[in-house]
Amino acid sequence: MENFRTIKLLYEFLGGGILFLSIPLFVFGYSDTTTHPALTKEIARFFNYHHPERFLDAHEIGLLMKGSIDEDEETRWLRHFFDPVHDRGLTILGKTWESSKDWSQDTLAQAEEDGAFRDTTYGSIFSLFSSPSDYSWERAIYDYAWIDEERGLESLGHILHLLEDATVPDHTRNDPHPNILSHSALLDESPYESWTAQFGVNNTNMLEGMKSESNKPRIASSLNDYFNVTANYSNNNFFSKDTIFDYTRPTYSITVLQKLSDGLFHQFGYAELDGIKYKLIQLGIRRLGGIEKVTTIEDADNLITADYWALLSKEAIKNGAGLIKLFFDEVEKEKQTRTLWLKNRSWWQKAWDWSTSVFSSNTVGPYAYTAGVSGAIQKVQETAPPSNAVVESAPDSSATVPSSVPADAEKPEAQESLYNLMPGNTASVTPPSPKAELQEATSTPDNETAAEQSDDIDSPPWYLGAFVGGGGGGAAVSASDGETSDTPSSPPSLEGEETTEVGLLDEGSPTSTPDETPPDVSLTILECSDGFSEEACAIGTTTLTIALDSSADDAASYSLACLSRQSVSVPWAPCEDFENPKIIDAGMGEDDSASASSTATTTRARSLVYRASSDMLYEFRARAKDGAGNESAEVSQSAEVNLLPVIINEIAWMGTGGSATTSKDEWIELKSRVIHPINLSGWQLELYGLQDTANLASPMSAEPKKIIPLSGAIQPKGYFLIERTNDDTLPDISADIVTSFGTGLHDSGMVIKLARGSTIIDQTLDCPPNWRENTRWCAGNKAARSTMERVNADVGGAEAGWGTYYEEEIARPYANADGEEIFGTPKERNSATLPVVYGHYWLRSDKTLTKENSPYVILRDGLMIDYGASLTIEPGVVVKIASTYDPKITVHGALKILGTKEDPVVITSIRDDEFGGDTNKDGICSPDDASSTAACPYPGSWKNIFFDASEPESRIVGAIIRYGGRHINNFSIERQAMIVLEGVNVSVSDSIIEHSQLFGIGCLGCASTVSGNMFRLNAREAFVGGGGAARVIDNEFIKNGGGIAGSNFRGGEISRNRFIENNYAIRITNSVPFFEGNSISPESPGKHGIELIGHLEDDTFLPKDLTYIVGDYACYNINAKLTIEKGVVIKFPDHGDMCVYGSLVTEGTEEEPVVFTAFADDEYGGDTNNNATTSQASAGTWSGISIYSGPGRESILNGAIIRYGGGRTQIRMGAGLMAEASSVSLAHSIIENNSFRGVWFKNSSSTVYDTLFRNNSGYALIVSDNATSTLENAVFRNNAVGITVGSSSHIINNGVDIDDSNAVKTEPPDLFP
Amino acid sequence: MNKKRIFKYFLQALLLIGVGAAVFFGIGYYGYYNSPEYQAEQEVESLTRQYMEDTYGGETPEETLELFISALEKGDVELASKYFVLDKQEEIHGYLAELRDSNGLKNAIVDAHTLKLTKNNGDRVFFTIADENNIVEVQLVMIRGLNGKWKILEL
Repeated sequence: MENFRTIKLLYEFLGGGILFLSIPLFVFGYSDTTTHPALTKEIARFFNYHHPERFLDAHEIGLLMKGSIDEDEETRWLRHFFDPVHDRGLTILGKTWESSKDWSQDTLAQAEEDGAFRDTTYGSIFSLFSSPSDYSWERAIYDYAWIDEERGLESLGHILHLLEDATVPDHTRNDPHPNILSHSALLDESPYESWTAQFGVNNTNMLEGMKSESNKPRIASSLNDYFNVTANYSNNNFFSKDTIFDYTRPTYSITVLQKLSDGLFHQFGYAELDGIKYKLIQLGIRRLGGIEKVTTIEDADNLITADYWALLSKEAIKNGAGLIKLFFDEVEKEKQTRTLWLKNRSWWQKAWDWSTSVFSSNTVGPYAYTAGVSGAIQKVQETAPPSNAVVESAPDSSATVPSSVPADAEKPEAQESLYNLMPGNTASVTPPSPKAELQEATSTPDNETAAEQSDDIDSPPWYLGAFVGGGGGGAAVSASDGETSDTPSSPPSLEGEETTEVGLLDEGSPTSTPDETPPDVSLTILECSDGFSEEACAIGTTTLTIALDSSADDAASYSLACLSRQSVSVPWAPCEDFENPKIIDAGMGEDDSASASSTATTTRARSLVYRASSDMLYEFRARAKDGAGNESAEVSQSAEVNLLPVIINEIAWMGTGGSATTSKDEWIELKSRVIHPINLSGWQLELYGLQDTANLASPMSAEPKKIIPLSGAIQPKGYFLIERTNDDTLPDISADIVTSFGTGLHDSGMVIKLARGSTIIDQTLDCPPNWRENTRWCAGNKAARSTMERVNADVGGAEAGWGTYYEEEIARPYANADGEEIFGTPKERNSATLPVVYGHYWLRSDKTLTKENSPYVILRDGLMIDYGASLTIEPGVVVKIASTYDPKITVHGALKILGTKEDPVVITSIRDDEFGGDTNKDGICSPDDASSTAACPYPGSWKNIFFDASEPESRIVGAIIRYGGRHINNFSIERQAMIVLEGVNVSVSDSIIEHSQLFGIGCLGCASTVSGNMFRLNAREAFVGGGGAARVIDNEFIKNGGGIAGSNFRGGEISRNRFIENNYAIRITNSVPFFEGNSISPESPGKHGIELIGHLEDDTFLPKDLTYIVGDYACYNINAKLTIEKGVVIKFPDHGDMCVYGSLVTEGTEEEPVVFTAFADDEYGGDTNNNATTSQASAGTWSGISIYSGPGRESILNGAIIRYGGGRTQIRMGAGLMAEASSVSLAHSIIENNSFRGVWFKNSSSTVYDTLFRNNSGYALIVSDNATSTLENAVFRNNAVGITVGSSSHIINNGVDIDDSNAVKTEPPDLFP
Repeated sequence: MNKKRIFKYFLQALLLIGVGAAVFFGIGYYGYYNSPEYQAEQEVESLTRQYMEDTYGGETPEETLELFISALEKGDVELASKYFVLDKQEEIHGYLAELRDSNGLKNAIVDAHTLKLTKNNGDRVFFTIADENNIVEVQLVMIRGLNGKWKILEL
């Protein structure tokens, strides 16, 4: 029978297991009809061209293509998006899917596609890499290295698909139309994906073109890098159909009219990428029936999508081919380290490994699992022999692995096979030296030989990037020596590079004679010679050629570091892709013949190309080291890189007034964007006008109608004013140039270009006709004489935007030649750049306010931060708010105020001159100067910052927020605060909240933490709360109408706050948050304590803190359990009382009693009523504590002192403590100085233990109305009456001490016979 | 051990397997029907249905344009917006309503009458308005829907 049971259990176990494994898969029918197979094929061909040493045959390419097709199966396509700007995947329908970058590497997520629960079984019950639906990066490497090369390639095809998708703008700009709709063959698909679908395997041949353009596979060190580079390329430089305005990039630089096959002229905006101009967008069209301009990437001949394809497909191929190379490198690495082989093993396998190692005597091989199950992988890595030995000894490891694991049987053979194919291990392949790579990276004509070699498929160019030691640099070094080609790549650190260098030195050092002379080194950025500043290297190109040279013959290497920063106010940081100094071989030991083909001036010269970013400062630092290890002193060269150093900033094309003279008083303002002065010699303004000025639709002239040569210098970040004809155009401001404008700036419209030589630096837009204003100028108003202002100085093209001068509550101090106001901002910041959002009050996309562009202004309509949008305010920014209407900042999205103590963010009134200067240009506010006409800020100048459904990242740190909180009658008080936190948990910290017309912060159901702030001079309470569980801690409250007022403040905390000279400190209604460590300065007016009002409905703990002042005109009702910590002092105002309908528990001790006493009693809790000794407590000042708990609840008063209660009239039937129909325990307590009654037990069950009754002016203890009281060690002294017991009640005397100091000891007198 | 007892244990084993299967299948399907992937698929299917059942539009591009103009002339912006592809309808409705409220609908009608079919790419056609210099100032793109109806894609 026992055996039978065992069989039964086994049977059930097996049955369950079979069932578990047969959970059905959920299959969704989708097929791919895009260009993926064609692109994948081209990627493979491009790879073959550059890597013939690992030539992919037709079968292998077919596997890659199959993988790239299959990746769209089922719902996998939901993870084919990667927005590099927000680092997110597809975000739609309220859900964010995993990005393609993460998905490609998420083995378990892909395993889950296999069916429910599968992500938890792989890697535990089953081997990690055994799911049939897993085509992740590590799986591909693992499969290729150990199990199945074909499946490995198929998985690689899946990943290539994802990388190809990363070149589709719709996939990197979160434009989900294409996938949802095109996969369903619906309408409104992406024009780009729709058009490119025509490219199939049979009609796509890009290899020849890419060969002729000398393209190369991109080299990156990780899969992440490939995704980041590819996705950023498509996101930053191309539009998708519905995201033209969703991202800050790209922008177009020029516009061109082009005749299409429909016989019509279409206007295209062009952008430039790596020197190639391409159509970015179609412009100049308006909506049916409207004048609103619209843009589109659809054109009748698909020219835009064709241009997109030309660039993006190449990007896919270059990155895809690089990725294949990385794949094979990683496979080789895996064969040496077996990292994934070990990672793959399930718990069972690891347990088996461990047990084998324990019980087997033959576990001394290189892969013995001596560290137990969990530590196996690390231990093996620590004890593994050098990699060459690994290759040979790997088969031995099978002795420690279960024979059932198929990987081991195949591993050695596969390893050997691939090993023979790798560079350096095949006689027919001779990799070039790192030096050759450096030569190829230079752009001098002598490189043509290398370039020619790269065109020859039989003699492929070296595949590495420009920098030896960067990214794949380790591979470059190892490849130079076939003996060490299997060595894992060195980490990209300086230390690692130095190790490599030592190898070179050891090999090449020709002599043992000590050499202590350091080499010299020179560092030059070649582009600086064509810079636009005479004082420093300031250049207008992002391609920097760094030339290094040394006259020392034994110079062996250079160390080159690159640092960058956005402005001089921030510290230097390593450049992107340049985290560590690059070590560059200087070619020591080579003779002249070996360097005959060198491109450099000496055999030691090297030049590198670095792709910089615009609007950045760079500093390159170099040292040289010789073969003996001597190192040169460091040399450096700085450069300011800016593609837009000077901009056209403001144009008064309408003149300055309406008279004959002033209407021709035109002026143009330029602005510098760089930190070095710029010599404008050789610069010019070109004025293009309409070919037919009477026809607004007329094309612009092809040739400029007027060229204005410039001269002089524009100062760093300064303005440059060009006035027409004479300097009286703007009498109050001196012109930098006075010149003829020819026939002037035509009101019909012009395009102005700023050129340096033949290079166009900046230009205004050719806008469509504005029929209402009868002009083609993009902005400006002739009737109002308002100038045309640039909105965004940081970008060129359409994103710069142009607006019409408009200022609100800002004075206009300058006059024209007729003495009239100037409606413009000559040599001053443009009015259009003042608003946080120009033109309207909605912020619908992310924006950052910077100190450099501060102050900002919010106009009368306020600012609304939309859902999903984010406004970040950097340290030092000042935001000023207009006073007209009730402007406020409403936050639906995220508001991140990120100031510091030293550099706070200030949000204040536009009249406030204390921060951000005299923004309203009416002079400095001087309240003490009667003659001053400058407006001054006042509390309530603006309304508030209203957080409503704000996103979690919102916070206020290091801010000064002042002069808001305008009174609005029909709002609740919390909503009338200067900062309103409604239902959010926005934190406010280290800030100053001051000068509110009413309240500082209002919390409505918020869970915010408000800490480290200073609240001062707010007319009403600094903090008001209604509901929620805010934490108000470590703040300072100075001279406010009140400190903290709140109701229903359950679960919150008010701790360690300092209250100085407020009208009162804390007033809490209907709740008790946690209190601790609060303090009130002695000079503060009002009550020195925490006022508790209303009632308590929940079980509450009253902690020790300031003295509590309980009750108002009504009884403080306790409807739950109130537990009072030892040391708490509670004072009651005249007639104050506490009514307990729940239960009362005091936790006092002899040293720290819980005291209930009168407000005027200074003996406990200090001078709470703040009147020194002018008032004294007396018996009956307050009414007392009444307990009406009823059955089932017991009040326990331990260590309590109840004094000065009992009330002043008999009508209240007062007692210090009265219990009716309740159960009460009174112990270790003192009942003293009460009027009428000290303690009164009515119809109650009570015990009195170790308690002193003294100095009570009436009855010390009354027991009446069927009450029973047990007395033990109860002492009665100096009372009017000691103990009174009613006829229906009785006392159990376990020890009563009552002496003759009591006027009457007991009633009846014979109570204790 | 008799056959009856063996049969009894066999039945018990079958029962256990059956219950196990039901639990696993149930959890699996529950998880599936609550998965974001399932929701997305449902959304796609719903969209597909809506597109297939969308009968607003003409058999030719010109017919759709006529229907659109007719709706505009009646001031029926609700109907006019239905001649656009589904996911543009809300946006276009807002735009046309704004035009109507600002007396700008007549400009749209004038423009619509001026539109000329200037490019036919098969399933995608372009209507345009050009100025006297042949510079395009309005472009309307129309596309053939799944059910053969022509819908306005872009305005």
